[in-house]
Amino acid sequence: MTFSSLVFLTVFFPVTFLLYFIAGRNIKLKNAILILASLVFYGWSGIQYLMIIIVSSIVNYGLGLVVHRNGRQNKAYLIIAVCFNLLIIGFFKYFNFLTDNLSALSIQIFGTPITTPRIPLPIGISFFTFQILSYVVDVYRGKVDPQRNYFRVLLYIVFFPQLIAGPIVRYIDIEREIISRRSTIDDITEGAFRFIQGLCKKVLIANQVAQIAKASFGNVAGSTSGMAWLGIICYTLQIYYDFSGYSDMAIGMGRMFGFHFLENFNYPYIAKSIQEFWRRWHISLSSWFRDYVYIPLGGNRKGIARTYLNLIIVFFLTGLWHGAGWNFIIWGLFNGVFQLIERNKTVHRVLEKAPALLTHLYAILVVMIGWVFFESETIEASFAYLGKMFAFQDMSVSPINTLLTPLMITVILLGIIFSTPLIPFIWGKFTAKYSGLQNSKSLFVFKAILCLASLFFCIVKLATGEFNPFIYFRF
Amino acid sequence: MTGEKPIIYSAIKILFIIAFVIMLMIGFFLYVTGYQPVTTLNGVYSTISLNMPKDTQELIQKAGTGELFSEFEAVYNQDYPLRPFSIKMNNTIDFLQGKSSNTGICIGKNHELYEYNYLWDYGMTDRAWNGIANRESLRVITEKLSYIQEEFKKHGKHVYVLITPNKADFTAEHIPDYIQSVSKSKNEDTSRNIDVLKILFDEYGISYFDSTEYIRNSLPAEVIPFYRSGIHYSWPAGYHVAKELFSRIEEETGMKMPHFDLKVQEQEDVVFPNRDLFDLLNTFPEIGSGIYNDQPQQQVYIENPEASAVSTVFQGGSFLGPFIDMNNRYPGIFRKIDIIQNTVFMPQGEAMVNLNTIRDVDLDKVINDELFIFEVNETSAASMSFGFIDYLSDYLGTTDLVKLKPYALIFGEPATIQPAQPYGIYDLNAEGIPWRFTAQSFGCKLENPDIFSKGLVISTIITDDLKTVSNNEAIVMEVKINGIKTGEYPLDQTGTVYISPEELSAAADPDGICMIDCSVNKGFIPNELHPENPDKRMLAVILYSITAAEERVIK
Repeated sequence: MTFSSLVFLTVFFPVTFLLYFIAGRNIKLKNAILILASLVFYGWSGIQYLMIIIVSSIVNYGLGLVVHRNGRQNKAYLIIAVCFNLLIIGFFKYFNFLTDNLSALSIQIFGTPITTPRIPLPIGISFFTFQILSYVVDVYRGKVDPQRNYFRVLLYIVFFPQLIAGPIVRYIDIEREIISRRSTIDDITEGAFRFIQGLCKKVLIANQVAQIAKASFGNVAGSTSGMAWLGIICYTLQIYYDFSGYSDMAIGMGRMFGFHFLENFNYPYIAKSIQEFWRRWHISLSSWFRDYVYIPLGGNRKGIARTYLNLIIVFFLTGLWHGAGWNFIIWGLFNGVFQLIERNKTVHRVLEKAPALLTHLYAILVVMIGWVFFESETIEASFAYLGKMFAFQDMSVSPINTLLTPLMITVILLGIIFSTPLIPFIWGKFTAKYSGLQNSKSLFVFKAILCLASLFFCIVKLATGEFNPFIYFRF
Repeated sequence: MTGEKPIIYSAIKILFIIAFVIMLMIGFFLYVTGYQPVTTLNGVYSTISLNMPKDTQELIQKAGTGELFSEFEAVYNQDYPLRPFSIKMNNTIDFLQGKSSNTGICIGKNHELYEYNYLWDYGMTDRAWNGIANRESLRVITEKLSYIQEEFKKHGKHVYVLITPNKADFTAEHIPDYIQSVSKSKNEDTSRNIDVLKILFDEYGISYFDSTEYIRNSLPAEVIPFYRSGIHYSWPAGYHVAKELFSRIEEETGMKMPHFDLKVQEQEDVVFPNRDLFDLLNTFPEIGSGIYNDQPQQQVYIENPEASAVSTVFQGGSFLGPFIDMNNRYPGIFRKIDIIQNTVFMPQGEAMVNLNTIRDVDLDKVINDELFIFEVNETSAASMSFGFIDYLSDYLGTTDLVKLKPYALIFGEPATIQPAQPYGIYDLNAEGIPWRFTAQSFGCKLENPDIFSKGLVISTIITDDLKTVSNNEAIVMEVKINGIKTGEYPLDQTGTVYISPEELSAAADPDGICMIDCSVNKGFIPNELHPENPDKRMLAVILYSITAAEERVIK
């Protein structure tokens, strides 16, 4: 069940929301409702997967209690916790990848493949494992107290808005809200606005441009250079609106239930360097790697060589986290290499002094090339696609002309505009000039009508059963 | 909050929240209550059903893997009450901006509709037969057609090919540019299917009518050949093509084809875009049709009709629409018509026939018809009339036409008995015999005096049912020639009557014209003979053939 599925949108979410508010101010009942709803939400993909998350939550709850018992840190338990969680994610996410590669190697050496059972990937395992690991580590570090109520830990892990596609919420950020919270009317309305905004991003932009991206990546041999460029532009928009839309929905729903999640995106495509891009893209993941991998490895405190090594390790893991495949690893390393390059003083100086337009172009070009590796099924396919892009042989887009309707062109243009802070900037200027407008009733009514109309249109689009992929669902 | 009353503001916010929840849940509410909005979809069917687990073990297994929930979700998505409305709305938006909701349909400039197949063929790209080997397949199929034609000729039957037009030929200026550019970039072979076929037809002496040339050169100027909203020729153009086709067939074969005059009138109703497509666009016609309002719509009427005397098989595809329409609106204009086609959409959008495969057609039921008209169009040229020619050729290769066993019962009240199939095969070398049928009589006109010296065999079929119900009661056939009764002949087990040369000569017309009328003493209704028998059908004798005596062994 994804947020943009009809069952979620028209049954699960509103029913949960109504039940939640029927519970009144009884926080235990509210939490119970959210836990139950979240278990249904997760169990929807198969009740067998519930066992994994429940076992994981019980074990980590226990480890949380012992890792920082009586104010003393216990490193052994921390190691156990880290190993346990890495074992879970390693087994379920990387076992197939490992055996596939071993099998390929075996064919090369012995001429016979290794046959092993296929392990199904539980949805959201990368997200909830990282989330739960951050809890244990933070307890160990003394940043948070261990939660003695198991169900609160369970709620933290399984809370459905952030369960399967993030953002990766730290326990420290919602610790107090798990124990006590209330949703004001403002929280609910703003949460609903944010939810609809995310849904629109997903349905009205990401799903639309995805059609062109899919057509381009699906037929590299028959495409033109123009089509390849258009395809990667659309994919760049798709992945941003797809994931940031999902994050918006998560943040919006969280707020409706009284939680305040941190932002996960901050206009990443306006970055002027790859370093800046990673400060704006999937912030909860990059900050997780910073706090739990990069800094513990020594960060930039142990000399240039070690800093570079640490960065490469982090981006290797970032790639691997996204998917068990060589293309993801290459994508991660590709980004890591540019991080290293940008740390070079000369390059750094050039980037600082170069015209903003050029540095923007540089950053977005590197990002787009990276997305080619991210989206392609294989490395060979990635290079074939890049070859088509940079051949500049035929810049027409005729093979996908039927998709390039006036509305699609409008969506692409709007997608580009909304991926920058241009509208908030103009709006800021406008409201500064007409003070009081920001909080006016009329503006709220206008915004509400616009949001409801957009929601209606999103439901219409989803009800048609048209193309509705979700990229980050598989991580 | 500057200058606003907080309570009102809060009330507005609460209203928004309520509206938000209602909007999310309205579809689910309709789903639970079982209410389905009236809006229907064409070509979109409910095919998924929830397979409830048979026992607890299966329930656990399906719930464990999530199969149960994904099945439910698929069913919910399919049956979501707002889905038809949503699809229509979405398709209409797409349509208004020139995007087709149907992958087979292209929306050209000025919202001119095309089938992609025809566009690719127009542009000479993506052809199934592109290449020498496939050209050879066209020759093979033409040879088969030639074989059928020759076999049929032996039995007084005729084959005629109707070549139907490609809209793209007539509206090239509205074809989207990208089609043109793809066509140019991929085109290697400059000859088109139909051009190749016409050369082959001429070479093999296949009778054909190229309606493209007719529409281009001879269609009355006031008739609109193609609507922007259609992908086939307009109904009025189709009627004109039919008239011209019949005229040519009659001219070339001597068969009596339908005669009529045509009257074309403008009508106000727009031919909606979803009324003429194989797979429908599913738009809101009321919105989409506005685009086509600037083009006049026409209706066609037949005046002074004169029915054909030929039993005819039409085999083809969507371009047979006007022929079906003609038969429906003017019943009797064809003496007998068998229409075999893939899918044809009528003016109101309903599908007439939808065969899974052409080999579903029971050829025994149509093989005794006298005229076979095959539609061949550019896109199906490679498979030539949906494989029917292949099928028919195979059939004839294993079946002797003369030995075909007619299956025949005539049903219904005597007064309403129509010529049932088959009427028989005549081996008289006298082409164009006009058969007549009434309740329990039948007959024909012979214009070949040679027969008189040989005697005549009239073969009938007495069905097993009739034999059973008639018990030992004699079935007698009275024969009149030119109004003179030659005698009453008891039908033996073979149902054959022999009329000697003397009997024939006695009644013969001085000009050699011989009108033969046969009538059977009675038909039989099993229920009347045996009240306990529930069968109330009228069973009668069926004329099988009238042959010159020496060509048939008389038992």
